[in-house]
Amino acid sequence: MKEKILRSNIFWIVVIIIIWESVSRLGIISPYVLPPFSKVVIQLVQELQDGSIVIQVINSFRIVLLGLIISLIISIIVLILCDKFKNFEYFTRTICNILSPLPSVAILPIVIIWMGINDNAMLVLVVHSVVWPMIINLMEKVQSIPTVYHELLANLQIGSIKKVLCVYMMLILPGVIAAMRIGCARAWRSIISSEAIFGIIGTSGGLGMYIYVNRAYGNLTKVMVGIILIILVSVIIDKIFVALEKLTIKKWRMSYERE
Amino acid sequence: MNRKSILVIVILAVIIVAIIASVVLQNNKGDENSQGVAQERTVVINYNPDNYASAVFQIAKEEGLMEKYMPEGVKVEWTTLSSASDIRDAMVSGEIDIGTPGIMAYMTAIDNGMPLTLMSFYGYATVMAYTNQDDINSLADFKAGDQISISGLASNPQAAYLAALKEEGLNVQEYNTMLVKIPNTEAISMLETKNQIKGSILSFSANLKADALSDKGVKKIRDFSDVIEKYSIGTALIANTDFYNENQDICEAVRKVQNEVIANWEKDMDKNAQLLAKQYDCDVEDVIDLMKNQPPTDKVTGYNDLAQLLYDVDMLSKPLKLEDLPNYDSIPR
Amino acid sequence: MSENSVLKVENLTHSYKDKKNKKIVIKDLSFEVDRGEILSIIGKSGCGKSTMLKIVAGFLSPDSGKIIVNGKEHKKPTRNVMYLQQNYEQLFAWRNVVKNISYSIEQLKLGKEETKKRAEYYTHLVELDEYKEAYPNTLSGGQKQRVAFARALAVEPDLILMDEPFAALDASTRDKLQESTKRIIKEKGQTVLFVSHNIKEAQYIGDRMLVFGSDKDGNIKYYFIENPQEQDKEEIKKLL
Repeated sequence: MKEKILRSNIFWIVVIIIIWESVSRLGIISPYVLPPFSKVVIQLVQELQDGSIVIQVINSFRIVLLGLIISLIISIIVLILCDKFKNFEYFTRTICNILSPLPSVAILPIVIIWMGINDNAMLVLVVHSVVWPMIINLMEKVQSIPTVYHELLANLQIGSIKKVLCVYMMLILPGVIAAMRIGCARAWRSIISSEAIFGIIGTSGGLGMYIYVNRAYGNLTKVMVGIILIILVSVIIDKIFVALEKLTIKKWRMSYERE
Repeated sequence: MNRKSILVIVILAVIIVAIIASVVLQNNKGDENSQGVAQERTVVINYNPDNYASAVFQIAKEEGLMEKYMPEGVKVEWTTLSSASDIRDAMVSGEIDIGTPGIMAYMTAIDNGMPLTLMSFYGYATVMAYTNQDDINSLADFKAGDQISISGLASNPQAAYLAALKEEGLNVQEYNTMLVKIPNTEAISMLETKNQIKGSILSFSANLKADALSDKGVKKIRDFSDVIEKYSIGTALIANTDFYNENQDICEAVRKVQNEVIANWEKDMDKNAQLLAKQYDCDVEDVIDLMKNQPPTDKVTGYNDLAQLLYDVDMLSKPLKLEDLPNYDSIPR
Repeated sequence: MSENSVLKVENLTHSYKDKKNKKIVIKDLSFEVDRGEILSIIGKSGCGKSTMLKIVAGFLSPDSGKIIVNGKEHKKPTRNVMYLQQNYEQLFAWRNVVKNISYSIEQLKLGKEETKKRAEYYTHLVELDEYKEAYPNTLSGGQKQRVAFARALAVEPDLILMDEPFAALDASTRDKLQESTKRIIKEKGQTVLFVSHNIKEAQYIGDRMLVFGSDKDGNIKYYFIENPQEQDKEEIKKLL
C-alpha cells in the first residue's frame, strides 16, 4: 500500500503542488517569479471559459499532428526508395546525419523568408524537427528485422511498396510508435520555440505565442497556464500512444522487436 | 499509508522548503551586508547599445560620468540586455538594479504587480512604418488579413503603431491583429522580396536599411514622432523598487548623470554622434539628424494617455495614472 | 535431363573468402531431382549444405555452375521455389493462423474466394483447424513451424527447400512433425530438398539421400544413397 502510494505519479504531483503553493504564499520566492499554484489554476479556468486559449491549443496541436503524419508518410516513402535502390539509403543517411542535429530554430529565418509567416512555415519546422530522426530510427529498425523475414518476402516476390507498407511497418510497429512518441515531443519543442521568435499577434497563433505574448506583457501567471497546458496535452498524447501500444504490441507480443 | 511515511514526507517537504528559504535569505543577507558597509556597494546598470532611446547611458559610460557622480565606494557594473522583457525580468529578479526598458514593458510589469519604480523618462523611440505595396500610402490603406511585421511585443514600435491608429481614428483592435512578430533583419529582406508582409514597423537603425531600399519599391508611409512625443513612447529610467528605496543616493547620482548628458547634448553633439554612428554602423549625418530631431528628455508627459491606450486594447487590466505612483513627486514631468 | 526432373544442379562450385584464403565449400556438385521426390541432404555443420540450399533458392549466387528449375535457369528468388527456414519465428504476429497461411496465397492474386478456400484447405492439411483464429504468440514452436510449412506449401511451388525445419524443436514434437510432414509431402506429390544434420531424420524423410562427405584424404566428396531407409546408419556416418 505504502509502496503503491509512493510509486504513483499523482502522489508526487500533489507533493510538488503543496511545496509550490507554500513557497509562493509564504513569500519565500517572490510571487512575481513564481505565482501560487492556486492563482494559476484560477487563471487556467478563466482562460478556458474565455475559450480563445482552446483555439490556440488546437492550433498548435493541429500543426503537431499534421507534422507527425507528414513525417511518417515521408519516412515510409524514403523506406520504400531505400528498399528499391541501395544507393538511396546511403544518400538518405548522409542527408539525415547532416540535418538531424540542426535545431529548427536555426533554420527558422530561412523558412520564414521562403514560406512567409503562417501555419505552413510552422509545419515545415515541425516536419524538419521530426522527420530526420524518424527516418534514421525507422531505417535502423528495418535493418534489425530478422533475415528470415527479408528472405521470406524476397521468396514471395513482394514489391517494395507492399513490403514496406504492409509488412515492415507492422514488424517494426513498436519502433514506429516509439518514433511517433519521440517525434511528438520534438514537434512540441520546435513549435513552442519557433512561435516565441516568430508569431502572429492576436487571437490566432498557438500555445508558444500565448506564452511569449504573456511573458512580454509580464504576466507570469498566464505563462504558467501555458506551461501547464503543454504538460497536460503532452500527457494526454502519451496516454494515447500507450493505449495504442496496448492495443497492438502487447496483444501480439512482438517480443523480438523490443530488444 | 502509515503514520511513519507521512512523517517522512512532511520532513522531506520541510527540508526542501528550508533549503529554498536559506538560499533566498542568503541572497538577501548579502544585499544587506553590502548596504551596511558603504565601501562594498555595487550597482548593476543595463543599457542597450543598439537602441538610440538609451543613448544617454552609452555616452555616460564612454565619458566615465557614473564614476564622477557616484557616492564613494560604489562600484558600477554594466550589462547590455536588449529586449525589454529580458531587462524587466532581470530587474524583477534583482540581477539588474537600474535599466532603461521601454515604458510599455514597464507599464505591463507594474500592472502585474512587479516591483519596479519609474525614476524619469529617458529617450524617445524612433519608429517608422514602411510598405512594399504601390497602392498603400498610409496606415488606413491596409486591409484586414494583411500582415505587418514588428520586432517585438510590448515594444516601443507596437506602442507607437497603436497610438497612431488611435490618433487616425482607425480600429485599434483590428489593426493590432495584423501584426506579425518578425525580427528586423528578416523583416527587411521580406519587404525587399515582397514576400508575405505588406508592411513593417521599424525602429532606428533598421529604418535606415529600409530607406536604402527605395529603388526596390519600399517606401516610408508614416513617421511616428508626433505620437511618440504625445504619448511619451520610448525608454524610461527604471529601478528595482527595493533597490530604489534602499539606495536613494545611487539613484540620485544616476539622475545627475542623465541631466549632465542632456545639458551637454548640443555642445557634445559631433563627438557623441561619431561614437553612436560607430555603434549603430551607420552614417554620422544620420545620427546627427536624429540627435537634433529627437533630443533626449527626462520629462514624462504622455504617461496617462499611453496607459489609457494600452487599457483600451486589453494590454493593461486598468488605466494606470502617473499621479498614483508612490514617488510621483520626484518624477520630472 | 530426364523428362520428369524438376531441379537440375550443374557443376555447382562455391567458396567463401575470408581475410587471407578462399575456402571452397561446394565443389563441382551436380544432381537432378525428379517430380515428387524427396532428396534429403546431410553433412557435418559448415559443409555447405545450407549454402547450397540458399543458392538453389536464389538468395546467393554461386561462383560457377547452374541451377535449372523446370528447364529454366533459376537465379533470383521466386515463388516457384519456396525456402523454409528452421527458425519458427517467421510468422506475422498481427495475423492469425489462417491469415498467415493466406498471406502467401494472396500474392498469387487468385481472388478473394479462392484464396480463402485454399487457406482453409492448407490449414486443415497441417491439422490446425482448431487454431485457425489463434495469433502466433499463443502457438507452440511445432505449431508455428506447421503454419510456416503450410504457408510455403500453399503457393504450390515446383520445389520446396527445407533447411533443418525441425532443428529448433524438442524431440517428441520433432518425431510427430517428421511423420506428418512426410505424409503431407507425399499426399501433395511435392518435390522437396530436405537438409538435416540428423542421419535418422534424413533416412526417414528422404526417398534418396545426398551426403556431403569426404574421401580418405579429406577432400570434398558427394555420395548418393538410394533407399536410405534400408541403409545402416553407421555406414552413412562413415561417409561424413
